[in-house]
Amino acid sequence: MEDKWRVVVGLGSCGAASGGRGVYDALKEGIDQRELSAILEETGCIGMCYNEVLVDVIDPKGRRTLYKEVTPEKIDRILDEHVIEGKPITEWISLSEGVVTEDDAFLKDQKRIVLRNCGLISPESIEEYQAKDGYQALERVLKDMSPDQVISEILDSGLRGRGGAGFPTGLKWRFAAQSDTKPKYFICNADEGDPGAFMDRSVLEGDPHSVLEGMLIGAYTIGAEAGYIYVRAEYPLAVARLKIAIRAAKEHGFLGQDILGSNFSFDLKIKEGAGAFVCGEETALIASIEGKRGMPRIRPPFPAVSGLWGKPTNINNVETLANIPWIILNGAKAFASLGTEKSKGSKVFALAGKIKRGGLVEVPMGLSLREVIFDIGGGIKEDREFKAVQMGGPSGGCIPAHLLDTPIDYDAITATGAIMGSGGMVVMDETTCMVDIARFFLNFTQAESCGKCTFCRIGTKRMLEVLERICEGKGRMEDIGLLEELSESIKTTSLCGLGQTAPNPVLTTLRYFRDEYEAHIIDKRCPAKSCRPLLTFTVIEELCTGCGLCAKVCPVDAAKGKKKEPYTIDQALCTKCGQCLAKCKFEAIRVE
Amino acid sequence: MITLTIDGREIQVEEGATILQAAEKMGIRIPTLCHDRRLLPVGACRICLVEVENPRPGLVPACATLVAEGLVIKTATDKVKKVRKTILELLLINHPLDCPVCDKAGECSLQDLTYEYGVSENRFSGKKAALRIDVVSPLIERNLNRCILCGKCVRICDELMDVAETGFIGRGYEARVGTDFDRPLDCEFCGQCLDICPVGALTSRLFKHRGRVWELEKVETTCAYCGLGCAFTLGVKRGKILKARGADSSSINDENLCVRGHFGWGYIHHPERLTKPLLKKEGRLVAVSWKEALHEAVRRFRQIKEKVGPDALAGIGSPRLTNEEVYLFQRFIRAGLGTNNIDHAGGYGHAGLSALKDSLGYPGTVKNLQDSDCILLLRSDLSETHPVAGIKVNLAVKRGRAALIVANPYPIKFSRHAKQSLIYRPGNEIALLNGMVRVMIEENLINREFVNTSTSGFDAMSKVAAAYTPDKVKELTGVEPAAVIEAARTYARAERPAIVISAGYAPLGEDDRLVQAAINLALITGNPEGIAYLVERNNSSGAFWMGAVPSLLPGRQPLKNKGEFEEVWGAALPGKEGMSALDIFNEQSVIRGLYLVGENPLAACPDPVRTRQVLEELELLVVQDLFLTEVAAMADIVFPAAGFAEKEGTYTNTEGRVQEIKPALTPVGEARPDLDIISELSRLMGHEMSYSSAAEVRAEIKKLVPDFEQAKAFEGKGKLVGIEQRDVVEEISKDYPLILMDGGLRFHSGSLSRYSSALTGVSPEARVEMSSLDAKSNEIEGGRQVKVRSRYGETLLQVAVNDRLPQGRVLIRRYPKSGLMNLLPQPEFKDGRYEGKICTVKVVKA
Repeated sequence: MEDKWRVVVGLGSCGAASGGRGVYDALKEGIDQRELSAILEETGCIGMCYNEVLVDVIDPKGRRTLYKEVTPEKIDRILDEHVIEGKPITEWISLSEGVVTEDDAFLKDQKRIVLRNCGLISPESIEEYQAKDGYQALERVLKDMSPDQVISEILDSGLRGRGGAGFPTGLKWRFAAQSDTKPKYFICNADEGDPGAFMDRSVLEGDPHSVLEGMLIGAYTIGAEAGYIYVRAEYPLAVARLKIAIRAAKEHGFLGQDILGSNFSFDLKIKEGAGAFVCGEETALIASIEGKRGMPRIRPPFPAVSGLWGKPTNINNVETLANIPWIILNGAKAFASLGTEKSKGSKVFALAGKIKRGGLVEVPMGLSLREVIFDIGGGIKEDREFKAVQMGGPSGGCIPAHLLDTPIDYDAITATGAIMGSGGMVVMDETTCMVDIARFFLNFTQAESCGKCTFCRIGTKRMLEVLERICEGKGRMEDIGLLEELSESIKTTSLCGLGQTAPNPVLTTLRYFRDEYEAHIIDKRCPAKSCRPLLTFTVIEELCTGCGLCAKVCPVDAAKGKKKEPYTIDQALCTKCGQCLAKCKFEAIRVE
Repeated sequence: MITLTIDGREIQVEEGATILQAAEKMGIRIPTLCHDRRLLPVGACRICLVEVENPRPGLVPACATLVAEGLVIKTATDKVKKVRKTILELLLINHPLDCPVCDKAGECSLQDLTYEYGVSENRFSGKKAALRIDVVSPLIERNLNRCILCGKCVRICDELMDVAETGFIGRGYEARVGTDFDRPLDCEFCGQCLDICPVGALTSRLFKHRGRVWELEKVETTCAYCGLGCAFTLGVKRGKILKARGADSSSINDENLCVRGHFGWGYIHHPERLTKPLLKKEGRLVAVSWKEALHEAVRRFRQIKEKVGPDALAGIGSPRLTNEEVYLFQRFIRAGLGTNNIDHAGGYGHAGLSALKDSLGYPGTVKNLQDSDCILLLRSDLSETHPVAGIKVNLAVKRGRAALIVANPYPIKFSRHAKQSLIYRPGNEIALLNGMVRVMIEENLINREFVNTSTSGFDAMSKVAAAYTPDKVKELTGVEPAAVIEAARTYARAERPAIVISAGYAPLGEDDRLVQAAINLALITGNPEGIAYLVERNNSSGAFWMGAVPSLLPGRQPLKNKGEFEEVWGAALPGKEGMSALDIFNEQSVIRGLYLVGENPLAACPDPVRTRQVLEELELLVVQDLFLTEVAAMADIVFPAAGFAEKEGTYTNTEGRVQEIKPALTPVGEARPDLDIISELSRLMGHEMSYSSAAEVRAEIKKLVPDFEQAKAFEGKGKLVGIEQRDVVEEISKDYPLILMDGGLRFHSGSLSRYSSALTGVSPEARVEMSSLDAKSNEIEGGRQVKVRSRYGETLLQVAVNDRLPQGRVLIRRYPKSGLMNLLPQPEFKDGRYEGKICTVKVVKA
């Protein structure tokens, strides 16, 4: 294998969505036509989603050259010039040893523990995972460590749940281990539901064995004999790769009866969720596995005491579990040496929104938001002005520019009003209306509320209506007070995390961008020029050439005029659809 | 015990109690909407939020938060009140304020709380819900616009009834309660959801726009259908019952009711109720005065008595009558007519009760069934026969995780929760029980100490049981040896096991033997408190106890003790044992004059052809009933009687509890309570009876029957009796290839239910159920009319294909007019007792 060229295509969902499958097919055909001995492989997401499709060309000496934005048209040159002639195509390179690119900055400050193998190994090959020390942590645990020792190790590492709430993982395991009822269950929560978040998906697609290994170590520790991976059915690739991984793990004796001769047995099933956001909440998730409607129930009893089928159950999220083998192999100290006093290790973020280098990054805790967004993410698209970053999805909040130096730390981020959450980071610039953002998230949570608690069911709907009203310029000053009161009530009276955090986007935008709310309500103006009902479209006479295109596209004949003379827009008729603005070639439409 | 502080006062409560329960104990009211003490707490509505001051300040739902040591709670701070008020405001945005036309107004929790919290205006606005009202489902109207999603209907239907007819549909603001694909309700129609709905989302069609809640006079009384005797409250307006709801959390039903209790009382207002006495003149029944009818009856009773003798007269009463009525009836027959020819309902319902009395000393117990950790449901299709007892089994199994063993000749609703489902050959229960006893003895799973100290007859009993090896049991019952062994072990190893048997299912005359076989099982394992024998009718237990049997006086005293009765009654009593109903309708019947009170032998006795013949040959037939039944139409004299809601008295339920019924209505027309009719008749016959109330009768009964209120628990001595399995199934032949099974039906009970349009509306037609394989081999399709034919007769029924039925067996449930009696053989008189058989039938296209 070493003496052959390898061509690896990034085929996570991001790569596939960017046309990766076509590139793969083209490469296959190209290699066949040229009768090359090069090996064609696929891998998961390396994180540079903004550069997809990514193709890694590895020469027989193991030197990697990562090409970005590859299309089927480009493969002839890659094969002919690089693979056959040995001359890399410099202008397409994203990363390569000895070549300086602007993508270097993307990886420079990252610390890849969870993503250690993503984009580097074939997710469908257990051998490649094993070649990267895979399943050695499990072996060590089963051979040399008692459950108590594992718990101590995880406690010492300072690992906290990566699903959002940040509960110490070691403590959770200890509670479940202490329950003496049998059987016990170990569940992996892969019901990643925040809009814009895809950390877990990438891990499952890129390195499923790391999650299985983490689960196996956890199951051994708490004494579970069976487990489930609750993964949303909207992640078909993740499901498919998990299935392959489970099968391979069984074949290699890592799953099933008497694992590695240790007397420890573990049976694992995949449960596909139907995409209800609330099923990410652990009690709703358990109900869903039981075949019931996914509705949270009151805790206590906590799942560690009475969970799935009324038995002790431990639930960890994908990212948390992927950390486990690394901690076992590298030691709690190595993990704890990263990060801040109370937030250890690294954290994966999905960078999205108005950011130059959108994708998946893993950074050590303690890095500032500024470093993540500007140094790694490359700053704001089109060099606009940064306005805020939304963290924690619908349960989180917006952090404004003046808090950009906030470190990545559970408590520091909570202090801003947002939450660490599962790792979604949606970056917003001056064109994003903060009222509209609050409306967007509220729309999401009110639709995803299970409908159980009165406040969450009806209160969020009312908040949404108020926000819609404000975005339409029909807001009243007392609306702000009403939003605050409802937010407070929903937070304090809801049963589960969904309701308790649903008002956060509204509260944080009210806290940091109250002026925008007031502009909408008092001045009937959207400072970000985003809420269309508040905009006026007028023709700038000096720039208008009288081409008549605006009148042609205007669906309500509000744009009027004579050819070669400046046109006008009849405000009484204008529906603010923005067609004229989009079509005008002379930037002669003014928006206010 | 846990000490906590609520509103400044300290209280000690048991660990595991909720804040709500603690507050209730202190008399502090916390409002609730989604809470019901029968259901598991969900904490959905949040109206019960209270403020925790210590240890972790915040708002918690009182209904679902457990007490903890040192907890400091305030239940009505400004913060709490404000939140509650906002919840009401939110609920009221969409809730239509149609209280003026809502049947729930007056007992609506939302209305009451809105008033209490002074929600006179709403800061929010929004569209009123505009969902389509379900006008299709029978009995229950669903107006989901009024629904506040407390989920109580969903939960009671699932947790208690195990039906789960509805569930939550949709998410967030669109969430609502619905059936699958929004079809109309097709459930058990128990009506539990109506009672528990805190608003007007679920209302009774029977009550629809017929009255305001506050106009109703509420009469708490006892349901008159099955032997459980559920307490319920009738809502009466201007002489009409308009609704019923479960009552009294301390009674057997814990506020629950089944379809019969909720909806089945309508017969009392049926237009065909008898309103005047009738006398046969020139072959036709014509309305006459009470005086004429009574005098004519007396004259003709006397005539027969003088001409042939008192033993040519007989009386058959009914387990529907009150204790006081049964008591007076038998007193009249014995002292007034001078014969012991008295019986009721075929006279077999009491057989099992007799066995319980003799061998256990008390009639069994139902109330605590839900605390059992193992339940053997023996020939008990409870969701059909005694649905409210079924709730207790559900709770034991689903909430208490009791091990359930279902032993029935066909699968029943409970089978799906069963640890073991033993489908045995009909009629072979005793073999199954003996087999279990044998396993227990063999494997030393019995409680020796208990057997030694508290039972007698062990050796003889074990000798009988020893013959029932697993292989023999398999041969007789068809149940695998391993299954019998497992069932025996499960039962024997349980700490609080219970056996449930429903009374009176085929074969006739076997119940005492079956009950004794079950008692053996209970006694050898030391579980005398774990027997529930569920009788069929509201006063089956009382009719037996009050002496409506040919051989026993009230209190089950033998005829030789008649002296005490003669003294109180002031009359000489006959000493000769009388004839039972089966004797009366025997070929050699010598009865010339018959007095039937609330009984229709044509529907209750096997071989209706012969029964009719006996009736036709009578010189005098006097019938006392609510309706002109088939048999009343044949009568010479008919007395119109009052129904359960038109009279006073007591019923004794299956556990021996004496429970009062209270008059909610005045009797229709000239109908009179049976008590009045019987005493008047007796007086005219020359045997003076004069009572101003049922209580006076009761006082007399208590004098003669000290244990009128029967023992409620095992009192230390039990009898073990070996019982052999009889061959009870007729030969299966080419002509009669199918075994006929007799099953209960939740919508009906006896013949009264057929006059309830609510019940006949949801269950109109009698059917025969057969497996699809049997249907196919007989070329019969579901829904078709067929003839079911036995060696004795035939009946015309609709076929329902039921794939859960074992092949080779058909099931006819007890619909009124099912014609089941046409098919059954006359029991044989053998060794001093009647022995019935399970018959085999053929099903052919009609």
